[in-house]
Amino acid sequence: MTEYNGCVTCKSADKVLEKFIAQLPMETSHQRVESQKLKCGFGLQGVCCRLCANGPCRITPNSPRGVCGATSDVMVVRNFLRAVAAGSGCYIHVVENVARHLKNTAQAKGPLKGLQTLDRLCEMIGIAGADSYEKAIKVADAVLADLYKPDFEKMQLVQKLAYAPRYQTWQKLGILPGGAKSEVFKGVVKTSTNLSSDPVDMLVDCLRLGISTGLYGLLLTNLLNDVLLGEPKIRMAPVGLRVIDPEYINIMITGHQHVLFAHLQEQLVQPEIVKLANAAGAKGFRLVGCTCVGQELQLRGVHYTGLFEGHAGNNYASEAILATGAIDVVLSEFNCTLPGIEPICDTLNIKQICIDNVAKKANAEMKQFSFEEKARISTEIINETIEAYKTRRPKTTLNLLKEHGNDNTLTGVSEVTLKEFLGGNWSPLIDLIVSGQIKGVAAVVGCSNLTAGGYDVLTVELTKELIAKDIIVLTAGCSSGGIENCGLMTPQAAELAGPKLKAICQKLGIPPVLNFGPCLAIGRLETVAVELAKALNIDLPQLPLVLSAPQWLEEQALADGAFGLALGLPLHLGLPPFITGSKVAVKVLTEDMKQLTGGQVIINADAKESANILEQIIMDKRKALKI
Amino acid sequence: MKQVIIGSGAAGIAAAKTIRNINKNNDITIVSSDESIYSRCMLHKYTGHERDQTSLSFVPNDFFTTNNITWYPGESVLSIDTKNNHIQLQNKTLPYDNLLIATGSEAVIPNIGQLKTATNVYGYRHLTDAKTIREKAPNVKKILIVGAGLVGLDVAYALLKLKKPVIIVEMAPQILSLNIDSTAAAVYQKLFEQNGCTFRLNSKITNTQSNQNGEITHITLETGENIACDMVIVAAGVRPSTKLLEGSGIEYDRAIKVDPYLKTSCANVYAAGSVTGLGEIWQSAVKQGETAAKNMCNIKTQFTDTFTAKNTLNFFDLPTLSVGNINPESDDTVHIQTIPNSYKKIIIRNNIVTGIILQGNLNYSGIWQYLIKNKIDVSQLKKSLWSISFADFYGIDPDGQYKYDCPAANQK
Amino acid sequence: MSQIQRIMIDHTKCNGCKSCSLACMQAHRQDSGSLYDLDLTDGTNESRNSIQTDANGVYFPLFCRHCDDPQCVSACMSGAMTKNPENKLVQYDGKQCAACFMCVMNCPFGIIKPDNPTKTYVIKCDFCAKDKNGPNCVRACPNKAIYIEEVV
Repeated sequence: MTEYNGCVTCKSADKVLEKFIAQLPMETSHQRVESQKLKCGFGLQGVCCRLCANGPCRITPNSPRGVCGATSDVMVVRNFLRAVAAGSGCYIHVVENVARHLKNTAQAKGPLKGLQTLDRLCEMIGIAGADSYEKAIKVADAVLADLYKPDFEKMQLVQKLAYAPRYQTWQKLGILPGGAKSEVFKGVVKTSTNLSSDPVDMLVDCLRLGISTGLYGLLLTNLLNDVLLGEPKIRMAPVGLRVIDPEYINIMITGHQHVLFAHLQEQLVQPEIVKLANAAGAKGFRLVGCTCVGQELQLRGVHYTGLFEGHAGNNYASEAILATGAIDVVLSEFNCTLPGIEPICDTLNIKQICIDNVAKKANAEMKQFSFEEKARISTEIINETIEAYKTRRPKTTLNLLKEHGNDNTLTGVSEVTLKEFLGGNWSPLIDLIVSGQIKGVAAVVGCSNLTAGGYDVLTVELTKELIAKDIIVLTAGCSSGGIENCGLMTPQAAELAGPKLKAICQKLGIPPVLNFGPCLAIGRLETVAVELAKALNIDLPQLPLVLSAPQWLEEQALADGAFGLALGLPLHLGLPPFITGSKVAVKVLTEDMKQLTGGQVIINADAKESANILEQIIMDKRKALKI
Repeated sequence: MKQVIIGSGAAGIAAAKTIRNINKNNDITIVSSDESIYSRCMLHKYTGHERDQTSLSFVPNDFFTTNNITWYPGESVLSIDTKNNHIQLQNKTLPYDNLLIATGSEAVIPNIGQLKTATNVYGYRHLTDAKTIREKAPNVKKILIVGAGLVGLDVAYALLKLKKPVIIVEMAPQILSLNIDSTAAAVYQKLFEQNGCTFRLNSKITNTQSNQNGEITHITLETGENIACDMVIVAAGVRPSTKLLEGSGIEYDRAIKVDPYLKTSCANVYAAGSVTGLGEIWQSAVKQGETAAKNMCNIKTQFTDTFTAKNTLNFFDLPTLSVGNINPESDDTVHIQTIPNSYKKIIIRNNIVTGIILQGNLNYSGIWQYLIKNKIDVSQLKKSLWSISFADFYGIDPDGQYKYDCPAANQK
Repeated sequence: MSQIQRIMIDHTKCNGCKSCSLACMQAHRQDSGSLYDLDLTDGTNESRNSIQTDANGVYFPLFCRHCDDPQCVSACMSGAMTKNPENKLVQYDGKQCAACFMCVMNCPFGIIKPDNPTKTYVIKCDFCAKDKNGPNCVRACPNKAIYIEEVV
C-alpha cells in the first residue's frame, strides 16, 4: 500500500471529486499539495539560476547579481524564454505529427473525414489539387516545409493564416517567425549559459515563439485533425467519472495527439475485436477521456458513439479516474500524463502503454507509434488490453463515483459549428454584443492546477463571476474539463448568468459557457475572434474580448500566452509565471506590451477582483468602439 | 539589607538592577550627583539636538518605582565612614550594609596656560557639560577641541551638525589613534573635513591667551601658531573620580583598588565601573556593576571579563569596529581587504587573530571579539579569513543556545 | 521557573534554501504584498537570520538565540536592547537606538548586524512579535531544520 499524507487534500471546485479523493486509500496530487505547500521564494520570483556550475545563484538585496553578473532581469527572462521555447516545442511536436499523419494517410488513400475543413484549408493557403488526397498531401507538405525552415527563413503560411492587421503589426515589430522548430532551437541556444543577457530582446523572442505556436501548433493542428478525424458537431454528452462503465474493457487515454489513436479507435469497434472482448467477459471496449485528448474525442464524439464513453476529467482528475479500479489500460502519447499515476497503476495492476516516447512513463511499455506499423501496434495494444482486463479485474475492488459529473454537457462547439448554430453568420452574436445583451467575450483557457485557490477553484469561480456579469465564456483546455464537471456547461447553468446572458441562454437552450475542447482549440477561439473582428472591421485588440488562463500549469500554457500577447489580447493569469523578480519583465509584459502589440498581462489570484478587472477592460474597449 | 550605590551611570544602574533581580526585599538606594539618568555615550546627541534629556536615559522612565529603588539625584557624597558604615550627604546620613562606589571618571584638563581656570573651557563628561555647550553654541564662532579621540570627535560631530566651525588639535599624527589605524582614520578625517572640521595633527598646545573676562581667545601651538577660538572643549582623557574617598580609608591610587570580587580594601565596600580602572567602556562598567552586585548579595562571583580592547565607531553613517591589538609588530601577518565602502584589516600572530579593524561593513562581525579574546587558532580552518563565520565554530546546547565548538588544540 | 520559547535548530536538516531568510524579509517588509512581489533588489529588505557554511560546505542556520545572558544587552548604552523579563526575548527598540553598534561587536555569534542601506539601526530578530502565528522563518522551513520549542 502506498503511504499517504493523512487526508489533507487541496481545496477543489469539484466538491464531489474532492470528497472522493480525500477518501482514497492512495496518495494523489491533491494530497501532495500539502507536503509541497512551502514554495521557494526565489523560484516563485524566477530569480534562481542553474545555468552554470557557479550556480545555483539567487538574487537577494545582498547579492543583486549572479556569479556571472546576471541581474534578476536576465535570470528571470532567460528562464521565461526557456519555458516558452519548451512549451512551443511541445505544440510544434504535435502539429508535426499531425501533418505527417495526414500526409501518410493521404498517400495511403486512407480515411479523410473532414473534407469541408480540407477545402477551407486549401482556400486559406491557396492550394489546389485533383482530389482530396492530393490536396491533403500538399497541405501537409506546406505545413511541414514551414516547420522545418531555418530560423532565418520566414514561414510562408503565416501571412495566409494571420489576420491582416495583426500580420502588419508583427512585421512592423520584426517578430515574424522563422521555421517553427528552429525558433525553439534558437530559444534554447539564446538562453544557454552566458549567451543573451538582453531581457527585452528575449521577451521579443517569446512573442515570435507565440506566433509560431499559435498559428501552427494550435490553429493548424485543429484543422488538420478535423480533416483526419472528422469535424465537431454540437451535441449533449455525459461528463465526469460517471462515464466509466465497468462492464467494458476501459482504456483511459491521455495526451494531445488524437491522430495517434485514429487507427486503434477504428479497430476497437470492429465486430471481431468486440467478440474478443466479449470472450473475456466484457461488453466491448470503451475509451475513457482524460486530459486534452479526451476533450478532442468529446469534441468529435459524434463520430465515435459506442466507443468513446465520455470525458471523465482533466489532468488532475486522472488519478481519481484510475482509482475507480475500472480502468484496465492507460494509453498515453503526450502530456499531461502525470508521473503520479504510476504508483496507482502499480497498486491497481493497470497496464500502461505509451505510443510516443516523448511522454514515456517509467512503468509503461513503449510501443512507439508508426504509421507503417499501425496495424501491428493496434493489434498488440488490443491483445495486451484484453490480457490486462482478464488478469486484473478478478482481483480489483471497484470504487466507482456514479454521482460525479453530469449527463448534459454541451460539446462539439467549434469556430464552424458555432457559426452554423448562429445561422451561418456571426451577426446574431455581434448584435448581442453591440446591443449590450452580451457585454463581451472571455476566453477562459489553459490548464488546471491545484495551487491557484485549489483544484480548478479560480477557473470555476472566475467563470461564474464573468457569466454573472453577462460576459459569455468560451473555453479550451483542461480548464474545460474542470468547468464541465462542475456543471457550468449544462443549459441549467444559465441560472448562474447575469439576467441578460441568462435570457439568451434560456432562449437558445445553451449554457453560458461554451466548450471548444482541448487547449489546442485556443486556435479555434482565435478564429472566432478574427471573424468577429473582420465583421466589425477592427483589429483584435479593439474587440471587447479578454483572455484568461486562470490556472495555467505548464510551459505550453506560457507559449499559448505568448500567442495571446502577440494577438494583442489582455491575458489574465492567476499566478505569476515566475517573472516577478524582474522589474523589466513585469513592466514589459504588464505595461509596455500595450504599446507593442496591444496586449497585456494581468496577474491576479482573486476571482472577484480578476473578474472586475476583466470587465473593466471589456467596458473600456466597448467605449472605444462607441458601443 | 541596606544596599547603597553611589553613582547612576552604567555600573550603578546595572548593580541596582542585579540586586533587585536577586533579592526582592533588599533596601536599595542610589545617590548620584547627576540629576537625571543619562547615557554618557549619547551626550553628543544632546548637544547636537538629536535627543532631548528624556531620550538620553538608558532605562525606562519608571525604573526607580518598578524596581523599588530610592534615588537621591543631584546629591554629592561628602564623605564615607567605613568604620560606622554610613555615607554623609549634605543634609543626611545614609547607613549601609554594603556600599558600591560607581562614581565613574572625570575629564582631565591639562595644566597648560589658562585651560584649568578659563571660563570658556569645558570637559565633556557630564550632562551639565553637554547642556552648557548646547546653550552657548549658538553664540560662539569658533570652537576648538583638544583631542581627536572618540569623545573629541563625538562632540565635534554634534557641533558640525549644528553648522559650527570646529578645529581639533591632536598630539598624535592621526585621529582616533587609540582605536583605529591610519588608513581607517584618514577616511573619517576626510569626512569630518568635508563637513567643516579643521585638524591640527602632530600638534601640542603650549599656551593660551585670554581676554579680560577670563575667556581664552587663542591657543598657542608648539610651532608658535596661534589659533583663535571662543570656546575650548577638552577631550584629552579621563581620570577615575576618587575625590570622595579622601579620609575614608579605602585604598586607591589612580583608581580604586579592588580584589577579583570587586571588593575594596574596606569591608562591605565595593567598586565598579571606570572608577576601578578596569575598563573605560560601557559593557565593562555594566558587567562590573553586575558582578559587584552579586557579591553584595553574597553570591561569590569573580569579575573575569577584563577584555576591553574593543570599540565601535559610527560617524556619518560609516561604522567601524576595532578589536584587540591594532598595531602590528614585525613578526605579525597583516591581511588587508579594500573594496568600495569597506576596509578590513586582520592581524595574525602565531596563527591567532590578535586584532581586527572593519570599516564600512560590520555584518556578522561579532565573532571576532570572541576569536581574539579567546585566542582561537584560525589557521586550520581551510577557509579564507574573510569568510569566517560562526558556522566554522558552530556548537549548540540542548536548550538551543549557541556555543563555540573549537577543537581543544585550537584554544591556546 | 519560567518557560520560554526558542527557535531550535537541527542544522543537519538545513539545505541552504534560504526560505527562512525570505520569510523574514517578507515578515518585516515596509510595504505590503506577497512573496511574489517582495523586492529582492531593495536593500531595505533584510533578513534577520542567515545561513552560513563551514569550510566543508555544511549549512548552519544562524539565528538570534535570545540568549540567557545576552551580550548585546549588556553592551547597549542607549537602553534600546533589553531582555524582557516575562517572555525572555531580547527586544530591540529602534527609536531608542543610537546606532553605536556595540551590540553588533559583542554578539559572540555574529548574528546582529547594522542595516545595510543606512547603517542607522540594527537588524535583529523580534520573534515576529506582531504575528500571532509566531516566527515566520519557522513556518517557511521546508525541512523542519528550525522549530519552536519551550525551553525551561
